[in-house]
Amino acid sequence: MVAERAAAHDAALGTGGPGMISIDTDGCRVADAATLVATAAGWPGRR
Amino acid sequence: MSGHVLLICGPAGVGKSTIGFEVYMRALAAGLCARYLDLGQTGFVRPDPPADPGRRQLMARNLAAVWRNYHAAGARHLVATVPAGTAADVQAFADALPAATVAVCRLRAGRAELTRRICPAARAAAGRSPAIRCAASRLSTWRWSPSERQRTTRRSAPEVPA
Repeated sequence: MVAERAAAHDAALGTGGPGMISIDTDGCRVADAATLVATAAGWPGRR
Repeated sequence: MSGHVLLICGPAGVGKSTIGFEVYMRALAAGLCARYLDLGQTGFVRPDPPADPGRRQLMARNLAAVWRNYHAAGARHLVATVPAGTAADVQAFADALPAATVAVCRLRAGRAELTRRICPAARAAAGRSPAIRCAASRLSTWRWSPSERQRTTRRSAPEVPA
C-alpha cells in the first residue's frame, strides 16, 4: 500500500520541469547518491 | 536574497532526507554556510486550508520565510527536501525563492526498489508509535556501509517527526 502510493507520487511528478536534475537511486549507496546529487547541482561533492 | 538552494524531491522511500542531509553535511565540511530544511515538517496542518489543498502555498511561504531567516543569519546555501507532489508543486517552491539560484533534483527508484525499502520496515514496525515507525523506515531504507550506518544512525535521531 505504501509502496503503491510512493509509485503514484513518482508518477505525479511526470517528466519534471526544465532544468530538473534526475538521479536514479536504484542500487545506489547513500554516499554515491549524494555525490551524484551534489555534482549535478554544482555543490561540494566530497566530505 | 542571493544564494544557492537545492530542492530535493521524489516519492516516499526514495531517500530525500538521507541524501539531502548527506549533501548538507558535505557542504558544511567544505566550509559553506549551509542550512538544511525538511519542508514537509512546515506543512503539518489538518485539514487542508480550503483555499490551499495540499498546503503547497503554505509550504512555499514557509520555505521563503525560513530561507529569509537563514540568509539573515549568514547562510548562503540551503538543502531542502520537499514532500511528494506534482511538478507544479516543485515549481511553486522554486518560485518562492526568486533571488536565489535554485537547483531541483528529483530522486527516482523503481517500483520494486521502493517496495523493498518501504515494506520490510513497515512490517517490522507494526504496533510501534508513528515516530518509531518513521525512524525504522528511514534506517532500513539503504544498503548501508558500516561507516555510513554509524554516521547516519547518530544523525537521524533528531530528525524524527512527530
